[in-house]
Amino acid sequence: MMLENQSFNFALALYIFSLVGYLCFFTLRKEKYAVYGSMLVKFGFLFHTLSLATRAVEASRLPLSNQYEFANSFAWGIAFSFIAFEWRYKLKLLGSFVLPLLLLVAFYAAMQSKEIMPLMPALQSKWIVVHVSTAVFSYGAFAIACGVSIMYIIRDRLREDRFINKHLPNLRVLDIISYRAIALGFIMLTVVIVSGAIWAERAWGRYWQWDPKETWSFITWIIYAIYLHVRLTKGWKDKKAAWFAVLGFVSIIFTYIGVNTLLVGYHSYAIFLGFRWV
Amino acid sequence: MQEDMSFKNLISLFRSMRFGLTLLGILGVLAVIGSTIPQGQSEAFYRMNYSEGRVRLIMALGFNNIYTSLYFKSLFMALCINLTLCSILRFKDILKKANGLSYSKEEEKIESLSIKGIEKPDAFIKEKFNSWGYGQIKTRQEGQRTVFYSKRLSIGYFGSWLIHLGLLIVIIAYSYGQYSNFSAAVYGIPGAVEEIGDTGLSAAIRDFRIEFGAGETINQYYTELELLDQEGIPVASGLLYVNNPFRYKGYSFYQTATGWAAGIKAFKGNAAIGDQLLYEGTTYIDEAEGIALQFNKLYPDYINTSSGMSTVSQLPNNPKILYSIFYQGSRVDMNVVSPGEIINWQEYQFALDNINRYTYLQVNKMPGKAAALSGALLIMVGLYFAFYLKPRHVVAVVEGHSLSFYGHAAVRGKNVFNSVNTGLGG
Ligand code: HEM
Repeated sequence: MMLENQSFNFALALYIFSLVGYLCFFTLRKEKYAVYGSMLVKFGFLFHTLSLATRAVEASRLPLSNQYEFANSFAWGIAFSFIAFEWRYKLKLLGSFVLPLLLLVAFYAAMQSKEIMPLMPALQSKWIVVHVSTAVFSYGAFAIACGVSIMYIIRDRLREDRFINKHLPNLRVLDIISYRAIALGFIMLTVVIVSGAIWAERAWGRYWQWDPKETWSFITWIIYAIYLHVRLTKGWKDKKAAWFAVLGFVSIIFTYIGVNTLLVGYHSYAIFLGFRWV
Repeated sequence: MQEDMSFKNLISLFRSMRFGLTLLGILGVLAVIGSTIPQGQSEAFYRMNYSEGRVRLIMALGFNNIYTSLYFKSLFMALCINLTLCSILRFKDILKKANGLSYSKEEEKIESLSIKGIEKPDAFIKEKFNSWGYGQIKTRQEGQRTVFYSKRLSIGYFGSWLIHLGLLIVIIAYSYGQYSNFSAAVYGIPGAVEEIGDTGLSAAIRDFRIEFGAGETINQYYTELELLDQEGIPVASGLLYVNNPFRYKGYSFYQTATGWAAGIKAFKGNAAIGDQLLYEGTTYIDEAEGIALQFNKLYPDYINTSSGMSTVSQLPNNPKILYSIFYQGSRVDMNVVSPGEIINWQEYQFALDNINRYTYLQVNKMPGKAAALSGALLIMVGLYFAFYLKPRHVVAVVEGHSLSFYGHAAVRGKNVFNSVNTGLGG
């Protein structure tokens, strides 16, 4: 418990410093800050991984089954995707746009109860492991797409700014990176929905019953489907696609945080009771 | 002629992507509304929670049952028509694309050279193609030009087609399942035999167990079930628990819930007037006498705290039963008793005894599950094709002495992205 908490707090602090580094790079426009930012986020990721691994060992299962565990894993997924995409596409400015999303989710995790609870019967399923672990990576990829799309929108607005022009790739490249991230996220989101449906069928006998969480994953899926088509259609501008990518992530956040706090449905039953009573 | 035109226009509207996306958008907005307004509640519920004007709006627009409303279904139906038309009409084009060759000289030029010094141009082109990772080479004549080409991953062209087909299958299978869905419930304590709706089958509950985990949390609920046919002959049996339904000929049995049951004995004076099994939450009614006893709740490990009655654990260490007595329709008594304890009310006596956990099983038969699953698999395969099997080609054009290469040559280990990588800063 100690090790888990301390490493999580450490990771959080490192992520904050990393964001400061990236923001300094963005405002003071000196490249070395981006190097610091990039280093710090990697150290943060190591501690974050340590924290999750400790919990997994303590609970003897993957940390994927309550608000805290999933928020924490979700933040980890964003960090993982961020490091992968930054490394793959050498986008130094990406940190200024993705780390705030990462911190948003990590702080939400920090606010949740960290108690380790035994798994409810309804949550004891290998499908839920597939369901939630793909969600982690899917949401991570979408966070990247959201960050890149915000960069796209800024680049589109500030065409004349020299710093922006030097450090932000051109619109076409940004569009391709965002597309790659969304393609990855979309396939995984589909797996999330399908495995969720299989799990629901095994646990409750209905693979789809429009409960708020299911409904919001459907809405998110539609938003990204529209993104994919808008990108294909010549008549519509790419900027519109970029806005859909941002909207998609807002929908992801709502599916995860909003639905649990504002709406009621079977998924919250699943968390609190794990079992429906007559 | 006029009519022909408008029919064609209608078809082209119905098949268009814009129409399909508009439908999707509307479905999305309706889903947002449906997720914020609790569904399937009574009008009284909405009156309690919403202003008068809103209740009228909700009722008038059917927002209390959006997902089963006619317009929601019609939108899905329109989407199906759209997807069907689009899939049928697009198929020929896709085949053509997959079998044919189209390249643009402006966008895709790789290099041009003269073939004067090259002894065997064919072999040279073949070698070049091979070095780029392309195998089979085809040729065709375009006037003066000889065109050599080779293609890879043409199957990727079918990606989006498979996705849309899969989606269509899922929608149809789901609708069919909703339409022909059979649903029933059986419950009872071990030993009970219950008919399952009008299926001709009966469920015999052979055993029901609860497995406790650490800290008396419940780990799992197990029911041993035997199915009997009309003659009472066993046809199937098995163990079921949460997340592991028992299946028989399309019927699935789910461990859905549990509760307590007790035997109730009723007396008037010293004469027995009733003896039956009573489930938690249900009522024993003697119409002739005008008396009823409701089994409100069982506290397995009873404790009376300052905040009210509660249970310490789920284990029946100190069970107490909360009951109410009704006479001529009004409640005349309410209290807690231990199992077996005699409840006296005027000339009546009751005893609740033999407490037992009962198991509650949901029985479903929803056809089309396998079809829906295959549709979903098609969507996933299609997505993989569309995103990760991008069709590529290389083309060599020999015209007089010049040899030009076009296409996606920068293949092995690299990808299209690298050719546009130049825009990256830093
Ligand atoms: C939620 C439902 C839908 C999903 C998930 C979906 C998914 C996709 C995907 C992933 C692609 C390929 C995009 C790419 O390669 O970047 C695509 C292409 C396409 N979709 Fe959809 N789609 C959906 C609904 C529709 C509808 C309703 C239409 C209406 C006709 C439509 C028409 C098209 C067309 C015409 C293409 C272009 C195909 C091509 O150029 O190869 N889609 N779709």
